[in-house]
Amino acid sequence: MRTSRRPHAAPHTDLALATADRTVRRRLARWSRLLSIEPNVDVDRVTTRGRALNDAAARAQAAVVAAASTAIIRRWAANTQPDSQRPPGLASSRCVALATRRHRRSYRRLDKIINCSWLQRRSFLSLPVFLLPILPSEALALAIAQEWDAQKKTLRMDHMRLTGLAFTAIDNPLRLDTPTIIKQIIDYLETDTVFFMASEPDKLVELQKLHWGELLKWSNETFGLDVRPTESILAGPVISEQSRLMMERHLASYDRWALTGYQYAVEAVKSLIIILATVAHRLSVEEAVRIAALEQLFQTETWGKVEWAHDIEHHDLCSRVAAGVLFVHLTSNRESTTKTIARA
Amino acid sequence: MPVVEKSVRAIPLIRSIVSELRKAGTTSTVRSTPYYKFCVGQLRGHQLTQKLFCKGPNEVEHIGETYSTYLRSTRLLQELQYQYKGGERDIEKTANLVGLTTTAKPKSTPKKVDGDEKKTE
Repeated sequence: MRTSRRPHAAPHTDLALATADRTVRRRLARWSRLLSIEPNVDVDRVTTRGRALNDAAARAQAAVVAAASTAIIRRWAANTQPDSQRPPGLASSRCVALATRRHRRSYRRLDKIINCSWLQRRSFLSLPVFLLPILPSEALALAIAQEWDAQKKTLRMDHMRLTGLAFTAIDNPLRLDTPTIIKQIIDYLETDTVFFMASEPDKLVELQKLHWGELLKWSNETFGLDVRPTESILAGPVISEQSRLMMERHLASYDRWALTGYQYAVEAVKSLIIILATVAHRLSVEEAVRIAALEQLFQTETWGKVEWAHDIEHHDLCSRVAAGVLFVHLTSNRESTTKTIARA
Repeated sequence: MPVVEKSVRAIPLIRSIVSELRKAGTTSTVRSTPYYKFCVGQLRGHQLTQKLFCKGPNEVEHIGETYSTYLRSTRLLQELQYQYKGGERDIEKTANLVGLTTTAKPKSTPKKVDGDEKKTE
């Protein structure tokens, strides 16, 4: 017995037009047929980790993932709004910047630019609709939606860090490609916080040996590096050419989106080794930020803290590093959804 | 027989995430939001083991903690920035600092007002 299908409202024509590849279009057509079947089905999520995908496969997979996540989110919309309208075309993030120039949470203005009444139904999801087909994973889309949902009367773009990272990755205003970003991240290795040890006072030296020493030992063992810290101002740390190559090769396993988040986190704490450990789940974000500002921690333990300086800086760093690391994880796992249809 | 990996931090983690989502505020209840359902679904799905599809031993937990830290630090940053935002005093309060008061504000059709400043000694 065949389940009745909803009329194919061509939800993916915009995406399909954007991709010239015929195989991708065929795959998208198959997805839209599959996903417009009534919910009498079992959804099994198959997560595949595809970091080292080649270009064409990556594009195809990204398109499929985008279609899947769009369809999932659209299905939620259909549950709340039975007469689901045709989704709008792709718009660049500049549209949002234009609409929110006055930083008011005015979804109606967005509604004028993008012809869609979804944005007025804020009950289920408040995400700029143009982002839906572009984001690589559902988890990222939901996290960004939560950021938008948490905004009150005015939009504070400086507190919506995942949105900002997504905009940077989509727009790529500096026209950076992956090798350039890798080079910019590796440049932070020479002046990495963790390499510069103090020689006095004793308590600080102990703290540094305890935290930074352990971290360096772990990173040397895990990644096959050969880096040694330094205590003098004149001589820099010893970083062998082999270590640099190993780091480049490791970073090359991430794609441009993940590297955007990585760079953001590295620039926040000014240390590549710390972020390496955080992304590899060895350090939590709070620990990473405390280790990065170890001298400051040492001083505040002796002399006390000033809330409007120390605490604000600490929370700012935590939120930046957490956003960067989260972005890396949420864009590195390729998720695709398959449905198994229960035949009656 | 598969070994059930018990994670001590899983329940405090989901509680902290939900509490942060609640404090961040939504237009509807938190439980009806898709991101809440996603978080809960992820933790339920990885209850038996986190090593699904080549994930690391504590990967989902770590990502969850990162998300919780992100929400918490953004919220605390907002609160502190609001608390210490500073700004200028208005003219009335500035005048009151040195014991002066300001004259009455002129109405839209201005009449002649005596501009006497009352000095308190």
